[in-house]
Amino acid sequence: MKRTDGRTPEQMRPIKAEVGVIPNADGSAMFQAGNTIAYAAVYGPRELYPRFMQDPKKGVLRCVYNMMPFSGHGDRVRPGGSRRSKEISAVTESALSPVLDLSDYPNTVVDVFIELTQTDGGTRCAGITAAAMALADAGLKMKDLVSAMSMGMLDGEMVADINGTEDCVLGATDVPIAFIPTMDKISLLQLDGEISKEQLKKLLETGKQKCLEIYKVQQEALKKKYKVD
Amino acid sequence: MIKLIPLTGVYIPRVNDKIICKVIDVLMTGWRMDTRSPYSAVLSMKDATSDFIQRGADLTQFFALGDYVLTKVVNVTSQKLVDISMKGPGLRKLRGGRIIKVNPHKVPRVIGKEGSMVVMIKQATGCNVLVGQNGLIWIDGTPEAEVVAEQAILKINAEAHLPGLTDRIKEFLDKSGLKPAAPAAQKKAPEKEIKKKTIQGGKK
Repeated sequence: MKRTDGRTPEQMRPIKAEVGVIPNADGSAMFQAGNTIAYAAVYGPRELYPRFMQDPKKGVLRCVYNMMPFSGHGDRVRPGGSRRSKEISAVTESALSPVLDLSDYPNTVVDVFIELTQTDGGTRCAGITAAAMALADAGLKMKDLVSAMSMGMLDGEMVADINGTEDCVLGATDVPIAFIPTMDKISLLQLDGEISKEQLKKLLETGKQKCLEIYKVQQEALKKKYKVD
Repeated sequence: MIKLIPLTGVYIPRVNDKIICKVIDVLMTGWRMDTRSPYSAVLSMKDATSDFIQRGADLTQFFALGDYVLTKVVNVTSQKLVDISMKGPGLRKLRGGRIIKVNPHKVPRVIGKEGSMVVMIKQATGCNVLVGQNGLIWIDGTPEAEVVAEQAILKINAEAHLPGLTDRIKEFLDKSGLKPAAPAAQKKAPEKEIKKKTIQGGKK
């Protein structure tokens, strides 16, 4: 099977990662998969107000996912939060929190802002991948990075790294996965479409392998920031 | 149990740290200070000065909003409530000069072994330099010297994790073009110190 952009079923789009792209932030990163570009900026730990939101035992993680108005292929995205962005912000938070230890920073907040300047499918995965690097760049205590990849089924065949056309026009089954390699745990698993139990199992295994490839790129990007020639 | 030393991150107040704080609020009996950490600190009146302050006096005549002060952390609770004090040698309000920010985790490298790095910068530029554990650094000297000192410190901040740091900073300071002016700057430095002392004396 040939895909819309000429890839083989299990081939990922070309990926690129860079750390420390936003000087004002405490930690930042960019992650690009094909035409999808995500920027993540981490601020904090910093004071959290209103006060009732504070947790006296540990710091709070707060994620904001946002698609920029000009980012899509079709119409202008209305700026500001939507039902969709709220949901993705929430799942990003739960995907990242298992690796993060904020017990040293009671009553504080770590803000993660994910901005998508260009979108072509797999945005939540690109966002999570970028955010994990940005959190590490901010010097926070983490058990591991989180790598995410959008797997799917197209015409009964398993495909990796679904792009916008496959998702919206061709109606592929979309399964975003966030994977924590050292813990061998999945911290995000969503499913939109139809899939059999066996297919899902196989898809998860392949998804983990693909996440490991992203994981390597993430690590390289983090190391590269501290190279001076 | 693994212990990691991060390359970056925020400053977390610890007892006995000397830090440079900024006044962000004036309270009933003291000042709230920004410590450049997630937690602000309180400097109470009795820890700030031994002068008698009348009840209801305007506290901004001691420290106004936005002033920078060199202080010491005296107490940190489990919930990170921070008390700071100005009772100790060298702790004072910072007048003139400039404040720069560096990564708090790189402060030991800015100071160097037994202060070697900061002494080197002081001698090469003739500037007065105070380094807070929270990564705020106060530099006071001639404008040209301040710029060179600032650049040197920012260079340390960027390259602290690489070997041969001292040599590179030394080379940078030698190349800075301050060398011909250095004797003059050094001559000026003691004068300035005397001036500063008289200012402080006058204020007392």
